[in-house]
Amino acid sequence: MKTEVLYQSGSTKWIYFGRDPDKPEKIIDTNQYMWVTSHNALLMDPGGIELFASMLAAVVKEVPLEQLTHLFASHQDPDIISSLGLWDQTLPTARLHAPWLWESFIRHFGMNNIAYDSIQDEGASLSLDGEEVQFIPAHYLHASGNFHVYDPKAKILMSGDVGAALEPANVSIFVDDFDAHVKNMEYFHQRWMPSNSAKQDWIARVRDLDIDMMCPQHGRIFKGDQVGKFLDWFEQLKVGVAISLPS
Amino acid sequence: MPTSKSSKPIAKNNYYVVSAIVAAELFHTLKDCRVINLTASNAQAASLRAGNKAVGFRALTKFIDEMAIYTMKMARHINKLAIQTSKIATATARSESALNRFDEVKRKAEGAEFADSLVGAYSRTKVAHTALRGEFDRLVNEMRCSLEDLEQHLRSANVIASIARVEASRVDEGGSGTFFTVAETVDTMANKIKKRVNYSKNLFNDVKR
Repeated sequence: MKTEVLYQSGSTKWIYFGRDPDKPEKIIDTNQYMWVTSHNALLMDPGGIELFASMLAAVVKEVPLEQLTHLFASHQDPDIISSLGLWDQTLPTARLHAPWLWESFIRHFGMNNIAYDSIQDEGASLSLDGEEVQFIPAHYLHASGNFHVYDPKAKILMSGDVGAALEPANVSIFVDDFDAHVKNMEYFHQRWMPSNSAKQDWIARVRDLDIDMMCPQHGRIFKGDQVGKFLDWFEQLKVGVAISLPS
Repeated sequence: MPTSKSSKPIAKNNYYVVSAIVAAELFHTLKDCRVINLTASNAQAASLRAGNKAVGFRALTKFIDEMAIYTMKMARHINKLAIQTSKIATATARSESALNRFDEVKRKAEGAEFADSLVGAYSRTKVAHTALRGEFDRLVNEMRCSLEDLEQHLRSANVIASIARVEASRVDEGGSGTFFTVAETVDTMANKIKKRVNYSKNLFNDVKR
């Protein structure tokens, strides 16, 4: 699995994991991110069962297992958190931060040990070793209970399915040409995102954040002015198109 | 009831599948027992109506009823064990899957700076897995013993059915039909239950956890 440090300041890091060469062919490629502080770490959208072995092997290349104390699930999808049953046996004292809406659903993946920290609709923050990240509401983008993770110090937004792209495996992890990348994102956003008003609400919220890097769960990372370009593009995009498709 | 379809290899793959099938078989046994119960009640009423001519049969209905009640009690007990076993077998399979994935992690994390930190998680999962296997073996053993007890007990049902046939033949022609039907029902249902019990016992052979 490809690993890249996106940000480092002292012992605080943002690490990217993805483009797993061992991933079975028919499952969607996913990006995972880990926020590391001096004694703890938060693994975001740790992925599905099929990814677990590669993911865990990649984690212990960066931090000792006992440092991984927190997990985050932006929503309930299998590519986000179906590995939970395995993490539950691996990290019995960890805490999972996830939307309150999905608790009774996510528990179906098997959760006997890990504690579920419900994130209320308005969002929340998590402080570890004097550092802080915020759970930003992104409801209906695409799940009805959905959060992103924002680090004001690193100026990184982990944007879940927003900004996702459907591309062949092994492409660069960063967007190089925004205009050329649009074709990889368009259908995903139109089809997976159900609500235009939810989209506008999220854009307004995110425009207030100072973002250097926007990191989606599929596809490529946006840097610098590509973030603004993405917000402008997304703003004019009509989503929820399935209902107008011919039967 | 075991059919040619349900006895195909799919049922013989894993203990949690087998346990679930045994639970279902025992659940159906409860229904068969209710038929015997009802038959015993009908037989009692018929023997009362038949008066002195059916006095021998009347005594038998008590045995039929007791046999059905005991069979039901055992079936409920085994059904409960089977459900418990199925749950434990599922948990065992999950923990085994975690251990298999840990082996994969070990291979992938070879040379990783913090690879040693996996040892604790692996040992913990291994201990949990061993405990689950122990509990599983205990439950399977208890279930096998209970199935054997029930099988032994069901042998008496056939004897009761034979005696019932003899008693039915002593009742005059007008009333004997009912009593022959009772004997037939007891025999048929007992054989049906025996088949289920046998099928359940056989399912435990040659399966993997």
